[in-house]
Amino acid sequence: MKKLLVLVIAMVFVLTACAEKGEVEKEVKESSAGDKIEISHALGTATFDKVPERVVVLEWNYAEEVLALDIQPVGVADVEGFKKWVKIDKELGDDVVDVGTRQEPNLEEIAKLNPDVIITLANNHGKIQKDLEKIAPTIFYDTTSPEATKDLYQTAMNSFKATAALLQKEQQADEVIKQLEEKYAKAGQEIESLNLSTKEFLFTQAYTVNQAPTFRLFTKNSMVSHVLEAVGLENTITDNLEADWGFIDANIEGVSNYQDAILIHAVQEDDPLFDNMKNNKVWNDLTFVKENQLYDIGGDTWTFGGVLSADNLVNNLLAAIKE
Amino acid sequence: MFGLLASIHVSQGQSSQGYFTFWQQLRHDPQQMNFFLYSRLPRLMIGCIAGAALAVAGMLMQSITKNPLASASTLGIHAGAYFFVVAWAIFFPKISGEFPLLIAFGGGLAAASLVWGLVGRGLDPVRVALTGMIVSMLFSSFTGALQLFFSNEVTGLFLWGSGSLVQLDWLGVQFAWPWFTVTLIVALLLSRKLDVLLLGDETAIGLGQKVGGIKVLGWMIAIFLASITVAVVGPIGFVGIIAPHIVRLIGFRLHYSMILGNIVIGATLLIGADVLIRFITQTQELPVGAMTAIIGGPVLIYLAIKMSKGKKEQASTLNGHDFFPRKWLIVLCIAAVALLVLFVSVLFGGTSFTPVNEIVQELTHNIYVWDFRIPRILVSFLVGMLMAAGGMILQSVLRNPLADASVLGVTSGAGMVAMLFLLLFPGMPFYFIPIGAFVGAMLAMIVILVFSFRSGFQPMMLVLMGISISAIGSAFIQIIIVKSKLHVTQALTWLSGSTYGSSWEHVLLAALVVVLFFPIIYYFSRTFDVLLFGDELATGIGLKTQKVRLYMIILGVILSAVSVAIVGTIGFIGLLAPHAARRMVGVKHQYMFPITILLGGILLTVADFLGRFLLAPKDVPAGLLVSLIGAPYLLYLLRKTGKIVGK
Repeated sequence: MKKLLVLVIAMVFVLTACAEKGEVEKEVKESSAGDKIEISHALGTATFDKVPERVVVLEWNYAEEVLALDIQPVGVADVEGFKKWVKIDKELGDDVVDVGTRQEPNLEEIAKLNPDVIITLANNHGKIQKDLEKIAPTIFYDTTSPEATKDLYQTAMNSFKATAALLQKEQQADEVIKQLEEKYAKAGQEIESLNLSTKEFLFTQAYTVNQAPTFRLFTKNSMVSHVLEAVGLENTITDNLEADWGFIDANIEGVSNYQDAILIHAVQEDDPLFDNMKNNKVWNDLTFVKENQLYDIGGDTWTFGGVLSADNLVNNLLAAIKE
Repeated sequence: MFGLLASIHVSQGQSSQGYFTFWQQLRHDPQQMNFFLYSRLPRLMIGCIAGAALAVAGMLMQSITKNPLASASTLGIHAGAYFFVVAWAIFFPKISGEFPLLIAFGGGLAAASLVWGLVGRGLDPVRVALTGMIVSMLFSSFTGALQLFFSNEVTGLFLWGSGSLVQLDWLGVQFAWPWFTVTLIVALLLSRKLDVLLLGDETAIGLGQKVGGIKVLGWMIAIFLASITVAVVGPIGFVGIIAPHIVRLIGFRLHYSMILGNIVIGATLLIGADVLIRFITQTQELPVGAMTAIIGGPVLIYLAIKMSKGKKEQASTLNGHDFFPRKWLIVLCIAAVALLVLFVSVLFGGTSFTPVNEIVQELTHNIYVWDFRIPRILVSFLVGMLMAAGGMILQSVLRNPLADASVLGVTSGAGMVAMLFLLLFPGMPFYFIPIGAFVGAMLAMIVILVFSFRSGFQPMMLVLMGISISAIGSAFIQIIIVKSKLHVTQALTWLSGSTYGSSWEHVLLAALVVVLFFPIIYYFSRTFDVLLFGDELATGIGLKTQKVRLYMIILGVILSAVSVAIVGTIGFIGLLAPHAARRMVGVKHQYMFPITILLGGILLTVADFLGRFLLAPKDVPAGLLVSLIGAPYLLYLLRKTGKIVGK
């Protein structure tokens, strides 16, 4: 009996050892040898014989990147959710196939689409890397490694450029980024001319949990913070530089630590957050509430996206501040 | 003591620097004063009210039923009330904010009557607690299903689901305290009459008391108090079971003083738990229910062991039926059903069925069918067989019809240690989870065996312990997830039990285990038969029962651990399959074993198929589907075994 036990454990070990992953690399390189395109990603290297045309995307922010390059993906995970949460200038076509949830996308549906490439997030789908690679070469980006978390804006730009390199749309990507940077500069001038009482901001995406307001406060490493600093504002949160996903959780007390800044918030329209706090003395006593320094940039501002979301963020910010 | 805890409690918050600084600053800093008055004091107050209400409710239930294991959480009242609240919010969203108390009360009443109906007149303490816990499981799996199918409508309810004291202003307190006070006054006025209950029903009736009426009134008060807490802070367990014991330990015996004592102790306990939980993390809100489960679980086990001491309820016999004289024929029939299920399951891929006449074409030309569909179906079937075999072994060896890896807590022990592995070795690839699962399963089994050895592996005791271990396990998992920020999505899908992403490697592992162990089990089927008849007989024919038992238990746990490692924490199959098999062909393992494993395979394959089919292209975790069938079946089984014991 003991031997059998050892055997089973040994088997488990063998299997897990087989499944261990390759090294994590961040750089993108394109080999000039032949026409092959080589992309190294978070979980290895993917090789392509030709420029991929049929793209399946399993995570929303990469779907956005593909759209920014004027390419319609053939399949996206949780299309309904994407349409609800990711409000950007470019829309998913009606014939884009929903391939299931972002957590457990339907492998056979993906296979049916016969994609040339699958783009996804390493920490959601690293577990099914082998399965995905059976269908098509798969690019895994990583937004949660310590390296990626240091500057989530740069991480987003890197994946955007890498995707563009793969789809041979580098020029367009450069163009999009250039336009975006021009937009920052212009928006920066506009904001300068508005003479805000303070340049310091606190950005929050807030929602209600069991009647209680919960605030996600975006830290300096987040994409949102980077964009807002690019237009001349200053994030009032200076610690927590490497917060996962670029935000820390807080309740009203936590928010009070930053009350001297202006508060820019993205709250879903149907969320009863502000109604719930209407009679809350703590909230009403916070400096930015008393001095009416609250700016609503709309609950449909997607804060975890890429270039198009950044563009949208600037638009919404200007609209909110000018009001 | 309470004062100290309370003063620590209000000093905790995201904008405070610590205990002493807080109290120093309070007078000079208007903002700290605001926090103190408008967010921390309400939290303290709601904690006191909830804790007191739960404690008094628990005490009333314990004295009415003369059952030291009774409380709102062990009787399923919390889960029932919470299920009603969630269902109400989903199906009547327009008026969901109205009558929360009434809805919760209705749910609590429904759950209590269900437990009542199932337990019958016997009122054996362990049995009542056990039935209540299973009713809880039943309602929680209903709630889980609702949350899955109506995820948009219920997002805000998640945290609340395990009980949280977060308060924004005085509204919650304003809502709760009048109800609470009035009910308590009624309870106090009633306390003299309740004292009569202590004398025993017959004496009380002799004294001219209307015992029935008093009991009903007591029940209503208890359920109402529990409903108040569910309506304002969600279901918080275990306070109601511990507090009354402490009060009795201090020496209060009459209801008037016991009620007052429980108010203080209950409030202290809950506030203490809240203080502890906020030591763990300040920035994120962790449900206080998790902490009460960690403290309360072991206490419940201890109490249950104490209760059952001296009382030797022998392990119940596992009897079966001889429906079919030609046993091999029935084996063949079940095998045919299995083939049919497998065939239908193979037909469905992605979002549509493959027409039967095209299946050959599909199998020969579409390699993805072989890459994804076939391995997944095979894994479901093989793992289903493993779980069923593991359950059968445990049931036979422990002579306990309720034994099964998931019911005994082995499965959740496996899940907990696997998550701990992820926390301790964050760099470790996800694939190492199976080893953690294995270690966890073994540890849980050892704990259970050590503690239940003396009581002769009593069925009720084992299951009650298993359920407590599960509660502790899931509370730890909750804390680990919040604390470690690990790769949550992958871990969570694995935890919920999913056949998703099964590969040929998994098939190979499962098949190897099947090939290695099943012949052995079959070879020993006579031994299992003998073990069933009791140790005396077994020793009589020269079997070293203790040793054989131990080996067999280890074998059963190995099978279950391998299953958990492959598909995560799917429960109940090891419970259902052997039992159904016994109903068909009786207890002879020679016939029972093949049927058991076939049924197990069929069960998980069907669950997997439904999971792929119901919301396609979305996946429903097979584990959830199995527990929707499993929990009611467990109740049914419990009722049946009750009759056997009661005979």
